[in-house]
Amino acid sequence: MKKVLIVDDAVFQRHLIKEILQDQGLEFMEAASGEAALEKLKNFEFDLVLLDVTLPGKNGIETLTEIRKTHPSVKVIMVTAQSQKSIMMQAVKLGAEDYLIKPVRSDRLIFTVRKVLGLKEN
Amino acid sequence: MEKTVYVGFGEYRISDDPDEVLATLGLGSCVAVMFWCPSKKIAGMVHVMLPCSDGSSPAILGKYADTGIPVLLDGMLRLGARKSDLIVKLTGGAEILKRNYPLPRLAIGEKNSAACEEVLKKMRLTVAAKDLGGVRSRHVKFFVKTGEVFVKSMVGTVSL
Amino acid sequence: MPGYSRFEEIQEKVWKAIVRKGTEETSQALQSFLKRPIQMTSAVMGFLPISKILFLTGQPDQVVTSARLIFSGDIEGHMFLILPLTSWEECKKKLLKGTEKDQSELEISAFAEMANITCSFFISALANMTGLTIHFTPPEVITEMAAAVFEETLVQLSLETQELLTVETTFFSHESEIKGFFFFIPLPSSVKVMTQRFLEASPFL
Repeated sequence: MKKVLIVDDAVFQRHLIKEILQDQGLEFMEAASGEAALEKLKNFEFDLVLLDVTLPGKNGIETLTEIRKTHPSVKVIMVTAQSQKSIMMQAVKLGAEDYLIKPVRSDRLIFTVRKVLGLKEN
Repeated sequence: MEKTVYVGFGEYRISDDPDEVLATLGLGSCVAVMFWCPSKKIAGMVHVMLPCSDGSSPAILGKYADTGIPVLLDGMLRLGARKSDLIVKLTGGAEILKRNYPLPRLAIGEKNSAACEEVLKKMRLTVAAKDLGGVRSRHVKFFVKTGEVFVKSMVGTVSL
Repeated sequence: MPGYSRFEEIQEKVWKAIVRKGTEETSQALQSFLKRPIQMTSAVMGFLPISKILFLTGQPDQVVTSARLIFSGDIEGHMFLILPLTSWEECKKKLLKGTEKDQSELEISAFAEMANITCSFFISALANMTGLTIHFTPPEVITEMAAAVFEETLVQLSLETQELLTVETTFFSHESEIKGFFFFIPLPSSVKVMTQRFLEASPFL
């Protein structure tokens, strides 16, 4: 079973992502900050990180940079607010697989996650 | 006919019209200071926003505790109220609860309450009733005819 | 809307264009977030004396859930997303379905997210049209009587001004009992900056 780490300081956003992806046969863990995410990555193996850009402390871009150094094989999808769309080019250059704009559309989220994880279309 | 007159931020109002109700809405950290002269049926309310003017003369006199309260008293006396008769009531000075922040950050409400009480003490005015502090905002109605004060919040209404 | 004073013609034209674009995009985002059709009325705007702002939602006594976001950068001011409690209950039915009862943290987070999305779309429409850089703070969520929602903002801003440009948009859903307000309140100095920048960006308006 593919393992996904959801990183967002907003508990509702984590809840929403889990709810949308609940039937995709994935296993989830959550982190509320970049620091907490890096800690989880040390202790567990993940296939995918869904990473919010606006985080307290280390922001999403800084966290992404760190992840690329320490865990080059884990895939990262950035999740961001509309007003920070410009940052996304930077994220893709830094090695993010893709990005999603909030409010995240269910079909878009499922499609992107399955594509990045190399899962067949259902 | 009851007439409601809203006393806005930093404003004050003095009235001897028995039909008037002095009112203020959404009082959070601000403090409403109310004077009532029972013999002359004169009422006054000032809507204090901040504790101290630091000596500057504010464009709106009621804005600060140290300028607003003296102006209110002065106006009351000029209209014929007697200082020794005055019934003083206070309400407001809350710290509105932010549901996603654990603690209020500025404590302006507390400072406003303390400043108003301090100014009143210096002016040798005794506070007859007060409803200060807490985490909820207040709507205030002050009846010129009777001197009654009703304070409404999300959890109910109290009279002062 | 009572109490609005005259708004210079050119400013009005500019702001209408900005706000139209902002509300269009915001309503799309809200629709997607709330998973139901949302209509937004065209914005009412004008300069309002501070004392009138307490009456903005029409019912100062009504209990509402509100989020305030403070924006800064090239322009400064405050934004509010306000929903009467009954409307918010209705939104929660869809947003939080399948969760357990006592979920106040999740509820507050959901409201904050809704405010983030609304403001984010509005601000990014503004930024795209003017080339201005604008950041905003995380939302502060309170449940209070409507008039109280504005107090802290008005205390802060009244030190600088007695009148504020207020952009008010109402949104609602025909499908269910949802009604809400979005307010955009820039500082007077920022109004000038925005108008100028917008005119530079679209000189033929």
